Amino acid sequence: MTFLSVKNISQQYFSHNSYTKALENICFDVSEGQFLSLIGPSGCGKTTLLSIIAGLITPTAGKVLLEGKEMAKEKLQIGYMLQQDYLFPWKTIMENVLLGPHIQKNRDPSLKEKAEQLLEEMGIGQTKNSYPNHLSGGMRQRVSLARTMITDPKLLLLDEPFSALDYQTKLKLENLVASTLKTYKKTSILVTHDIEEAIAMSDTIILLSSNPGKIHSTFTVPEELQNMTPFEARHHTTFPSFFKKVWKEMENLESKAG
Amino acid sequence: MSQKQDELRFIMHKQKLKKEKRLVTYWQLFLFVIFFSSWEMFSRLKWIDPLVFSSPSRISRMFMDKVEDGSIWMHIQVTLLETVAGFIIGTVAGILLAGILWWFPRVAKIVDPYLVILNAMPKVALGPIIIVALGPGYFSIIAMGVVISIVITTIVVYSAFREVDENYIKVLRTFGANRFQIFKEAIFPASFPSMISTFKVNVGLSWVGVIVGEFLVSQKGLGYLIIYGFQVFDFTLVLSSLLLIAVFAALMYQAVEKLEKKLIHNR
Repeated sequence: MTFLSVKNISQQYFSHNSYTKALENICFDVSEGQFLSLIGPSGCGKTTLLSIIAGLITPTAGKVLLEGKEMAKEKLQIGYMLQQDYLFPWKTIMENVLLGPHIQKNRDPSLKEKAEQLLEEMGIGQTKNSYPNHLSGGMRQRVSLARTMITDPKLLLLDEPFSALDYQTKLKLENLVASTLKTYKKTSILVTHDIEEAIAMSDTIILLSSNPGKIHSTFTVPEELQNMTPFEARHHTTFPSFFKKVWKEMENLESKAG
Repeated sequence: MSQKQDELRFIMHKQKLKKEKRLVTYWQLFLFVIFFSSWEMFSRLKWIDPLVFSSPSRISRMFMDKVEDGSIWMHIQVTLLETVAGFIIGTVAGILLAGILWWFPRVAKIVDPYLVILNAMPKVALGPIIIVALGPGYFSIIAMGVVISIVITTIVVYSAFREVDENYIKVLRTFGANRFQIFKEAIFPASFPSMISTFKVNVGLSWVGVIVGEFLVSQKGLGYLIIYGFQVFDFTLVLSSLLLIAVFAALMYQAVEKLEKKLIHNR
């Protein structure tokens, strides 16, 4: 049985006198522990697809199965990281990290220790009693990762979590996220517009075309890159040639659309 | 050596700030003194009609008399109580209504035109009806204070609720939050700044409602003193009541600012 299967997802948006098809017949499977990236031109419905997988939007047609069960009922099993950290400014870092358990009314006292440990692993243990506006963008996104990890989700959905950061912070965080996910053996889906990031982080890349969003092609990242940290992968000799391959496909897509 | 220099610069910077603050305070005091002394002077020289504009010395004399015979306290107490009650009830009920509108979006859509009309209507015009319905007493005056602030509070706070960034809601929903949790954890605390600004507006509005209410009921309170002073052509009484209102309105505003500092210290 596949871990996550996305089956014939279609999504339509209605406006006053017309409708647009955002997604058409999207099908793919993700196996346990896999890291999948969704890339494509802006407006191809990447974020919509992620929201559907998360069960936040009900698709017009199709369904998402997590371990054979419908996603809508499995909501608590996913973790979602957004483009910006969206930490709650009126809560301390600790309260922010423990937001998930707080919402789920899980008052297990060991969670606090776990949260402290997570923050410690990410190198921001000393900030636990501060408020988010005292932290830099990179630190805040780390807190956001800790907040996502604390509920121990089976599936992680990352919606361009590095796009608002400066380059150096982004590279550091990619490594951190990749190693955290590997340690906890998480299955993840990353949405990004950055081909390099997709190659550096994932095992499989799905390229979507726009109007309507459809799967254009699927790439398997070379095995040697899969096993490296994102930073190492970016500097490996096979990286540029694989990058070119994906780039070309994306170019094709855009020239066809244009 | 260089650390010493840095320290020194810091001290100089602090002194500069202090100096600036002192200068502002001096000017504020100066304007205060100028205003009251020229008022007094113009009144004595009859450049302004002392019968209408009175003078600070007459006002303070009247105030002393009223303090001595104790009658002023009753009036202050009555008005203050009515205003604070009108303010609290109007604001809290407005926020509650906004919460209801947020909870039931369809209700919000349905009542939208009615809210617009109610908001545009001059609420003090309802005064006579309220007084007949609730009787000439505290209740109708408090009701005036409530009526005047409740609609605008509902509208402003409701729009603040709706403008909360969708992504905070998204974060909560990924954790499986229900509608009440979304309200409690994101919508409500995120709207504190807008709520505080409606508090500030409502301080002024509830004074308007209460004073107009007292004009109409004419039994007790600072509003009653104003209307009474007007009827017997005692403008010293009118102006001293007005000054008292200004002082207490300013104090109430200060209290709201204290609350603001407490509620939104981390943003």
